[in-house]
Amino acid sequence: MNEPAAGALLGFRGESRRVLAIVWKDLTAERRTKANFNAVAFLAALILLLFGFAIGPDQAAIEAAAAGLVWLTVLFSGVLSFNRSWEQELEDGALEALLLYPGDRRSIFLGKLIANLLFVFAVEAVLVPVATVLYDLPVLEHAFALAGVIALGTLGFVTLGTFYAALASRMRAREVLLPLLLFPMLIPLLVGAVESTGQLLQGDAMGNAGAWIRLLIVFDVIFLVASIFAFEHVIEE
Amino acid sequence: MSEWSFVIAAYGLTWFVLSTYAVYLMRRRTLAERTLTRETREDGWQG
Amino acid sequence: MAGLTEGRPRLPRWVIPFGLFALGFFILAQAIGLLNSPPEIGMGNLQKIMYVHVPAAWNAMIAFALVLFWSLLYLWKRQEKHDLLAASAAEVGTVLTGLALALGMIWAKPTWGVWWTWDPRLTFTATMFLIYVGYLALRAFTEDDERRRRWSAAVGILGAINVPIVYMSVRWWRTLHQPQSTPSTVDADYVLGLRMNAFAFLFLLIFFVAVRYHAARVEREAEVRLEERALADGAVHV
Repeated sequence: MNEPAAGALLGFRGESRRVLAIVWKDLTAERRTKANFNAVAFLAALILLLFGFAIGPDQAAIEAAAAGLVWLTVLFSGVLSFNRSWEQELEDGALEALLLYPGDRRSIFLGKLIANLLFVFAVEAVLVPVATVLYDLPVLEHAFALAGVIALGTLGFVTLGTFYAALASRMRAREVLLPLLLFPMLIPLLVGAVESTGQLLQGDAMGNAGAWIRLLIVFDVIFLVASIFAFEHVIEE
Repeated sequence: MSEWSFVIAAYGLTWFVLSTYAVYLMRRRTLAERTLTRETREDGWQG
Repeated sequence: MAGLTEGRPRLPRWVIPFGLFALGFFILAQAIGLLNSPPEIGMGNLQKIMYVHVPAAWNAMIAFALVLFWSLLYLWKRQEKHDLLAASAAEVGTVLTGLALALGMIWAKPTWGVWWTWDPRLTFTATMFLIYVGYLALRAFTEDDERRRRWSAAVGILGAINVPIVYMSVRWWRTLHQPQSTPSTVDADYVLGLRMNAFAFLFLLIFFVAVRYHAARVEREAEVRLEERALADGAVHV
């Protein structure tokens, strides 16, 4: 059987198999340390509670701020998972081993991206219900649209988070550097996600959410492509 | 006019920042050249 | 010892004369701005702040474009000088962005009564400032040379890509919640002063980048020689 030359494109099926292998490896490592997911999910709930104390108890104030609080909580809790994902590779020298195999660096990035995405989605599966209860959010109307917005916002967040963590995880002061590098880049995403979520939670009378959702899509596409391109250059060891 | 104090503050800040940065750059350049001279000299002595 | 370049990096002869020219032009432009334009109808003398705030902001964007250009060039050609050029432009750009931010706040206080408003220009400038600072922090914290060059280029490119996106999103965001009230039209009276100051800042930008780049090259050269010597001396390694 012909082994493709190192670095050569594997072809779609080969590549997707490779991506899935990386996803699986990442998640099973995560599962072995399920404590990590529990801790992050619990922290997210805690942050929501703290925000409640900080903004409340006036329900009107909380309602006005709810969309922002939820997304900030996603950011603050999600950011903790990205470094960890890369650190696992560094610990057992797995990254070097991965790079030796033929196939795109792209699949490493996509694998990590998907694994992080699933992790953050799982955290959100805890976070959103807690927020719904704590802040009395009307999530049932426009539930589909809300789910879509959450998915789009999370995708952009995780894309850039995975990329910057690939760098930060290999530096000193990684816990500080990742947010420092990542959060300014997320500002358009935050604005778009909060605005569309807020609009939807308030009934979206003027249909404004659509414009913000388009911004999210544009952001996601541009930075997915850009991160994949950039990743090829930052991981050439 | 209290407006003027803001205009003065703006221009003053601008001149201050630009000139300080210019001075910093010249100093950095001088220090760098001095370091390089030292390195080169030591190279020369080595062989 | 070969060092990085052949021979010693020299500051190009045009730089110092150009710097003096830039200084002279700057003084001229500032004088014209301050003295030549009558107080504006709405803003009064505050309008004069535009002659420093706007040129600083514009040239900060030009610096960002330079970072993008040289970062792309570095990833393509892998020549160290492009990395140093990008880093120099980033440092100068950070200074200009910080200045533009401060000037924006100095303008905001007498105009709106507060030091900070969530005005699209202020928030955009603040975001750009943070992205620039992140770039510089990355360079400062990355010790391996090769890595630093590649990573900075990637981060610089991503940051530059975000410029139009940030710009659009903060403008939308603001106009949604409040009608635009920023006086943006510039009358013929003021165009000359604005253009002259824009060029004045541009000349200073070029001068600053040139000197910073030269200093970076010299520092790098010294670093490389130091490393080479350390390698040669420490031939007996454990």
